[in-house]
Amino acid sequence: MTDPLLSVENLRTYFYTPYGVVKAVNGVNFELESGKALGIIGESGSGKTVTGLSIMRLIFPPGKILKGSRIMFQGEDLLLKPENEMRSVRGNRISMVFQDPMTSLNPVFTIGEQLTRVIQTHQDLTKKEAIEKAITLLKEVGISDPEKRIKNYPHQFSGGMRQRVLIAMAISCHPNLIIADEPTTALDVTTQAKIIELLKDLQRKIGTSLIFITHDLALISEIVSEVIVMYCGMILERGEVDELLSEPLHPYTEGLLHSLPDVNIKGDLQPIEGTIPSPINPPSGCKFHPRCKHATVECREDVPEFKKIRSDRYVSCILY
Amino acid sequence: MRTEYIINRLIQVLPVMLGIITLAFVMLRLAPGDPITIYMGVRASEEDLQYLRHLYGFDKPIYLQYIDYLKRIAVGDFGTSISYQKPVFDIILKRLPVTLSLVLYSLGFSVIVAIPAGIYSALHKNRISDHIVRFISLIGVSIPRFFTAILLIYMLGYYLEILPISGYVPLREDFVKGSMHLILPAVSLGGALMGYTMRVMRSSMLEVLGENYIKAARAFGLQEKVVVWRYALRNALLPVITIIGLQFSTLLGGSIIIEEIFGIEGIGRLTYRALLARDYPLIQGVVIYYSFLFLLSVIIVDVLYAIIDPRIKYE
Repeated sequence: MTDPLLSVENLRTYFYTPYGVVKAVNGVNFELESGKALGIIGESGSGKTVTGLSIMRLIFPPGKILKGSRIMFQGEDLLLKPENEMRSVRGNRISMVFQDPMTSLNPVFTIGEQLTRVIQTHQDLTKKEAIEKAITLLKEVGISDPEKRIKNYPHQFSGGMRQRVLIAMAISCHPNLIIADEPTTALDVTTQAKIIELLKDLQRKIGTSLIFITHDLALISEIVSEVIVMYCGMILERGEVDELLSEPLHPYTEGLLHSLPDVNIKGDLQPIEGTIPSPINPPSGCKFHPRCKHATVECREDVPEFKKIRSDRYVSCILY
Repeated sequence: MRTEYIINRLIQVLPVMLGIITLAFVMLRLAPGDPITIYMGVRASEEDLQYLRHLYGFDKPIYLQYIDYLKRIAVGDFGTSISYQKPVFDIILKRLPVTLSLVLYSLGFSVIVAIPAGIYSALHKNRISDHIVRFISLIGVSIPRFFTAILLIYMLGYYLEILPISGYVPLREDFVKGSMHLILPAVSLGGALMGYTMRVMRSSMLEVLGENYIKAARAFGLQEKVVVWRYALRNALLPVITIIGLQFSTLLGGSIIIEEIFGIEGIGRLTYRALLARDYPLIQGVVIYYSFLFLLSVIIVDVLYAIIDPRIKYE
């Protein structure tokens, strides 16, 4: 087997707040092969966004990526790179699509200015070539009349259109990896589907790998082949997407699926009992045990091993 | 479209100007005291007083005085000063460059110091250098102008003898000497504005640096200097411009005392004397002049805003 494109090893990102240490990501391991799409699901505060930002190395004080973490990307450890080299990775070899397209574009510059700036930062192109490239990119992400639109400001675009512009920016340098952090959360349902479709098409077309971070279980099977379930900064379960959704192993994943509304079935939703634990004082042992109906004394004491159940199927629970 | 917007704003200013002109007229007539008596002294004969009242039109009913006053202003005649015996317009015009150079030096000083310091402070948040900058801005805001002036005169003018402590040399005659004379008054006058601007710049910069588009810009690998000096600064300047525009009026007001302290024959000093002498035409002229300058600064702020922020509509 060839080396994976990205391999995250024992990633720990802590935030040293005045109230205590928040272990936002606490020992995360996963690999991503070239051209594949991986989903990360979890509730708010589960550490999925911080995982994405850690890969980009966009963690600022009081946050810190701990020593001993490794993020191997194309054979290099990103955590050991000097900042100026890391900058040429961002937006170029790895790029990110953010959650809120309404606020992710600078309001005082035109779309064209912002797009060409990203292009010219990473590619040796003249202003004119960069503008041409920007127009092509906008066409590619489905913005009509790009020659004219390029002179418009962000406030003249709708949310969905802005996300398309941001996606154009993200693919402008043909990155090897795109991290999409809840790219559809702020959009309405019909726009969501279109953005997902666009991401899927582009991913296939330029052969990039994708990490798709979401809390929306309904969306995830549309776009990724493999899924990681995160809770309290740790991975609870991992598997092929359809298998994981049809036959969840971890009680938490099961709970997540039960709390999903289904238009075909009338009846009450079954939300997971309890709430997400305090990030400063997380429970001992298995982080999910206070909310788990299968919890035993053992769960309170030790973190269960992340076991391989069968090929490509892992879970961290004493039931298995 | 932009020129149309500016013309529009200028037209909107006209009714405001009329209001101010009226107010200047009414307020002075309401104030107790008679300019002719003050001018002639208590021993003047009743006939002389009557004659002068008639000459200046003070014997007419107030609404007629008002109509005369408006008519004259419409043709640029602001009347004749009682104490100077010269046209008000000429007196103000002659002193305009003096006050204008003081105010502009002061504005320039505050902005040139405050904006870089505010940005620096924001980028070094909670470090010692940030605390020092914030302390200086606090001093600027809290110490009254006249006290700053006295301190500066004592330290730089009297004790160290590096700068002149009084007088004015027109910049057109001798730029260097004129500037030297303006340094102390400009710094005393602009200290407060500098302090405000610094604080607003700092907090606005910090706010903008936390925005999503700044995170996104970093995630796209843009260089830090582009992120700070282009992406963030342009957005962060908007509230700063508002503050400078609003605080401009305090520079005008402050120039009265500063000109008095530093012996500068500008409009501030003129205002002070006109008030003491109850020189109606002159006070009216000065009030109109101040309002005009203030309105002008408001328009300049509006135009700058429209240039920086594309979201502002010109219609």
